[in-house]
Amino acid sequence: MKDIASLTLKRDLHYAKRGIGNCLISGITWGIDAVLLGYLVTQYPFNDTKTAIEASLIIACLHTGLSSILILLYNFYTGKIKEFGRCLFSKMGILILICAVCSGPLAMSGYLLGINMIGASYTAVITSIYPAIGAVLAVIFLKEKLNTRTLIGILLCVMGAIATGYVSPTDTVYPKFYLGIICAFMAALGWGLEGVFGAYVMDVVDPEIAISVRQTASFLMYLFFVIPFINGFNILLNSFAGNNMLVLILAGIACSISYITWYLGLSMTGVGRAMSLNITYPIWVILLEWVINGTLPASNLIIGCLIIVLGAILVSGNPKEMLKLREYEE
Amino acid sequence: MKIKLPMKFRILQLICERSIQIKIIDTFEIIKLIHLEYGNERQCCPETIKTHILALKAIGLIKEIHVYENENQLISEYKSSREGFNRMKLMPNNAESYKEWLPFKGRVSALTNHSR
Repeated sequence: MKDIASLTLKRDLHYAKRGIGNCLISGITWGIDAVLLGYLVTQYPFNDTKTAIEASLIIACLHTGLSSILILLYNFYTGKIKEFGRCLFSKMGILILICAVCSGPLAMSGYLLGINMIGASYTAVITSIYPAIGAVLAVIFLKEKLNTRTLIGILLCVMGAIATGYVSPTDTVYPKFYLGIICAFMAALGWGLEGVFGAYVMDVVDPEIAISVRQTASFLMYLFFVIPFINGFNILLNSFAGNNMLVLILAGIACSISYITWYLGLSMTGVGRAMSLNITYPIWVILLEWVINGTLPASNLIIGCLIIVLGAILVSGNPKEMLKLREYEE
Repeated sequence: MKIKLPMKFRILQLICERSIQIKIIDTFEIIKLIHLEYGNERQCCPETIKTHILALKAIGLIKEIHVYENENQLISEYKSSREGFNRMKLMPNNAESYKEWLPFKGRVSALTNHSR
């Protein structure tokens, strides 16, 4: 007779490893997505320096819209489409809408306003701390269990991401420096909160449905509130020129895979771990840019990547710790 | 208009209902009951149901109290944790299975409030 305990452990470990796999796929596809979007911003009509902020928001709107359509099609294919309405028209739906507000208007606007007020380097460094914020919030609100090794791993991933994104600040004087810092923190807080609210909803809702509702709500918010606010319909209509449509579709596919696997990862491995493994994406961006453009990475990028790899190993090294993600009082 | 609960939530409801009656529910029975309600949907397959159960277990909303093997398959028996009962507060009033939950609602509220 087979040992039941070992079979149960094998089943549970398989589940935990699938969670880690999902988190890593989410990081890789987010890297691919970033490279594609990096190319898109150099193309007409997004390459006009006078409308850089508007262009970023319009790309975010198109990108979210395409990914929401693709995820809906995927849900239709897997036979889960009816779950969409069940989730949306309930208390869980309200929580996912909060998720969409946190990640869309709150985080994305904070990120872009941060870049505008304090430049990309400070903003990248501050917003990179979102996995640490997510982990702290998850420990407080979701009673997530994280041991010292995992916490060190999360901190290393954050430090690595900061190192890869860091560019020496210039001598530029920023008149709204402190406001910019607040905006960048707002973005990090928004992404951290999204993970916690999302994980709470996914406790009782399929992650593939939760992300579908979140992306659709996010897209509608961009379309009806953000784009009219920035008066961006002209750029939006010109967005499909040349090869842009093909790049947008490819980015939409990468983004959809990334978001589905990220939400699966949040649900299967916990907020702290999923966010830390998701932030491994700079490694893939650097590798892809090296393969595609032959761009040799700078020393800070190599050091940052090595720190991220070490952090990711510490975070995901022992799947047995993921068999019980939270500790509730009985 | 009455709506069905998301399938994962319905699985939690079934386990909570049995737990409050101090009865046991196992993987087989969960699959059978879920199939009766969601059987016409492609998502309703043993694999997806088992994944939802494992997810509920990993986050501590349900507990696996006994495991045995039957025809080369692992069959587990489950009960709800206090946090699992607590999440039933998210059940919408217009859910098809809300009526079924009503007889247990008071007892579960008393139980979850007592723990605070």
